[in-house]
Formats: sequence, structure tokens, C-alpha cells
Amino acid sequence: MSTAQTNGLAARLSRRAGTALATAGLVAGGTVAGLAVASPAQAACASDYRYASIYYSYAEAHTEDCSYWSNSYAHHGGVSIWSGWYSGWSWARADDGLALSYSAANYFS
Amino acid sequence: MKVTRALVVALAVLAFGGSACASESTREALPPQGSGAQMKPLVDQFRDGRAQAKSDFERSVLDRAIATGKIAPADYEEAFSRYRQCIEDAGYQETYTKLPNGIYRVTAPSDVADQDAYGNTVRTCAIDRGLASIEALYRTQIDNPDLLADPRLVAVRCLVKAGLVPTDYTADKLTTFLRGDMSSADFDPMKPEAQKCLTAAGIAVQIGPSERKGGG
Repeated sequence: MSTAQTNGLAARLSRRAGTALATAGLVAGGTVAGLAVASPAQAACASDYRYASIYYSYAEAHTEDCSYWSNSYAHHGGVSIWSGWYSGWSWARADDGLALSYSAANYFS
Repeated sequence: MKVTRALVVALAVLAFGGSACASESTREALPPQGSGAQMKPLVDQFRDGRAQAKSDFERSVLDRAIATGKIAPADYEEAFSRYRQCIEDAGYQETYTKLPNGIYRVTAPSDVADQDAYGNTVRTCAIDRGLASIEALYRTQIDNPDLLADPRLVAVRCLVKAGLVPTDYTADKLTTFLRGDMSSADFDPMKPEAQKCLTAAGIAVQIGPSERKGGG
């Protein structure tokens, strides 16, 4: 990894507020959704983590060794991304600068 | 990463709007994550998928996979085509990009008013048309031939090999980087080489124009 690469990323991200401040924005303007779409059997072996705020959106699903699959989704400002269906884990992160439109969700099969 | 009791608690606390429902006994029975532990053999995973199959199409694909030891690319294409038709029938206009590994990346419509309804449609179409299981198993077959139980190791090994992170980079560090504000600048996730490594591990990252311009 070159210094230029890391410096470039650092420069564009250096204006970010800290995690504590970001957390304060969790409930304004966006949504998070997740295990509500999992069956009771799935919920027993699946876990998820979601973060969505004006700063960025992030979803992470974990299905343990349950023969279930997950698909993570993140939307932030003008960008969105699906992880696609994966075994065991899936992650999605969307970031488009400060944005009032955001959501993060995990779906299980 | 070794999933410790502390991490389980942290997940439960942080998973707002939902729940982290895994019991500790379930987790403690699992092999430590990040250790290089392996999934069950691929054919056994095909059999598990076959047992849960929702359609004759899904059963036929997985029967062939059990017999041959692998899912055929044509079967994945057919599963994706069926999913795509279902989404179109539901009135959504997704866009699709075929990745170098042959798997399609789905981009959501830009004008979705109800994200929950759209997400549930995606899930229903993927399950009913057989894509969810076939895609997940096909990805494992293609991108995780060592069957690593913790796919983050797939990404870490790839990132190290590409020279994007130091050789002592860990799955824990990757998780911290992805969950945080990325101010640590471990690597640029939008570099094509990094995207390839992340995608192979089930990690999708999209940084938009506003962020890349340093705006926002």
C-alpha cells in the first residue's frame, strides 16, 4: 500500500466527525431494518449489525453455520449497494458524503 | 477474528432496530473465527441447500451440483434470470453489472420510496426463484475454494497479496475499518484491486461522487 493511496483516502475522509457524534445522527431521516425479515429459526442463529446516519450507512449480517444465507444492503445519499447473497457473512457499506437519505438492512434466506 | 463473548455483547448492544439473537451457547460451539477454520465440504452445503429448496428448479440445480461437485455457470445464470424477471414483474427497475467472477452485482433503483417494501421484494424474489441459495453456494465455490469459515480471511489474504495492506493485517482490523469512519485509511476500498478482494469475501463498499470529491 503506497503512502499516496492512504493519504488520498485520509484526505477525503479526514473531515469526518468522530463516532460518538455520528451515533447522534442515527435516528434522523433514515431507516435501519434487519432481523424482522428472518424467520424465528433463522433469528436463533443469525445476528446483524447496522449503522445508518447522515455520515454513512453500514449493514453486516452473520448467519453462523446454519445453512442460511444473507444479503446486506446500504443506501446513502446518491449511492446504494447490495452485497449479494452469501454464506455465513455479508457486508454492505455506502458512503456519499453528508446525506439525509440513508438506510441499512440485512436480509436472510 | 475470534468471536469473543465481548463481541457478542457488543453486537447485541449495537444492533439497534433489530436484535442479535444468537445464543451464547450456539456461538461458543463454533470454531473460532479468523483462525482459518473451514466450512463443511461444498457438496454437503449443496445437500443442505437441497433440503431447504423451495422449487423444482432449485432442487434440480442442486441435484446436479451434488452429482458433479459444482454448480454450473449456466444454472446460476438461469437462477439470476428468474430473479430478474420477478423483480421486473414487481415493478422495480434494478440495474445489473456482471463482475469478473461471473456473478451479477445488483444496483437498486434510484427512485425507491419505500426501502423496506423494496428490500422485502428482493428477498422474496431471491428465495422463491432459487437465487439466494444458488448464488451463495456458487460464490463460495468460486471465491472461497479453501472454504474458510470466516470469509474476511479471504479478503485479508487477497489484500495482503495485492500489497494493499501490510502482512500483519488482520480480520479484526478489517472489521474495525469497515464499521468505523474509515479515517484510519487502512487502504482505499474503491481501488479496483481492493474491490476484487472485498467482493470475493462478501463485502460490498460503494463510495459516491460527493464523498470522493471530499464534499458533503
